[in-house]
Amino acid sequence: MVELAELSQLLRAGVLAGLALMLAGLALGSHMVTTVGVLTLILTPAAGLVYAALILLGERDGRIYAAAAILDLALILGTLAYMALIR
Amino acid sequence: MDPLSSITILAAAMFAGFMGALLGIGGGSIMVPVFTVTLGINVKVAVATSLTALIATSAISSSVYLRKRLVNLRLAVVLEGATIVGSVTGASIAAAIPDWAVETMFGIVLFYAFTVMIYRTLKPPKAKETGGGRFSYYDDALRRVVSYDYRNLPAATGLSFFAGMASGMLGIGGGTVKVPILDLVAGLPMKAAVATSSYMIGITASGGSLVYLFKGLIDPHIVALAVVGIIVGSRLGAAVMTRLRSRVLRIIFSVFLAYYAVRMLMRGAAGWWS
Repeated sequence: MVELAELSQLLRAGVLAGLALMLAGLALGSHMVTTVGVLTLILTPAAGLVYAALILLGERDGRIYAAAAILDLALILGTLAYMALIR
Repeated sequence: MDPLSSITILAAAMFAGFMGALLGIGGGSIMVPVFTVTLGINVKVAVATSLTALIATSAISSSVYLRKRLVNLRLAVVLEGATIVGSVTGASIAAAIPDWAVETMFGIVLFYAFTVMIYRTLKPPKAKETGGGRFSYYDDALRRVVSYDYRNLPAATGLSFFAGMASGMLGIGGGTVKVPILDLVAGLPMKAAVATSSYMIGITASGGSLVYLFKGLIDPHIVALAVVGIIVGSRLGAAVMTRLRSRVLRIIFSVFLAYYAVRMLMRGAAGWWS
């Protein structure tokens, strides 16, 4: 069962990983690593939504809210896919 | 980018984080005008940078709020549907319209923030007493469990769309727009409203930032500096928070907001005229 503390840790870890990749990319002069770092930072809240859905699934009457979290995740990933397609 | 510009961006972001932590507002309303007016960075790049940096501040601050069980996860995920759509819409509009239009809108929002800041300085919000409800958290200051419930979900959802649109279009966070919706419309106690807004803004900013990223408006160098600066600044702000008089600080910050509101409106008018 996923706890709120794990969601909290995931958010912090995602930001730190994104920042580390961005700085590493800039130091190495690698545009790809830097972009992966920016994407990691941007998609951290989306990863958090997966955890949020799992937390809500474990709660009483939480299914509908878990579905809402999955819908939010679908909206973010849908935006990512759409923007990548029309680029 | 030359070292001086990098240091200036870092300092501006630190200032935004510092003031944001002291006054309980998002860094966007500070970072965007300072980047645009003082550092001469294009307004859309400044908005995109601010929005992406907000993800970092949201994650760091909401990780604390989540541990304290102040975030209303159920309400957040329900409202976020409308807010993400608003954010993506706002970012798409901002990327398509001229710079002067974004600057003018930002000037208007700064005037709104200035009015709210003055109002709250003169009339601080009172702690809301709540009755029994489905949700609860332990209030350290009151030393008791506060229970509450939300209300007006359809109205809060509708307004959340516009809050998301403002975030996506102008790179601003929750303090200015989302907290009043959660507090005044949805009826959350202020602490729960601030915590829930703080968690939500990261998800909202995620949608808008993707639009800016693919439109080529995110400069990773500026974003990295802004994220480092805003995290360090907000930690410093939180450390000295208790030693400063918030009333004096609010008045000083109101002058800051008014100055940048006028400058942004002037830039917008000059751009429209030419």
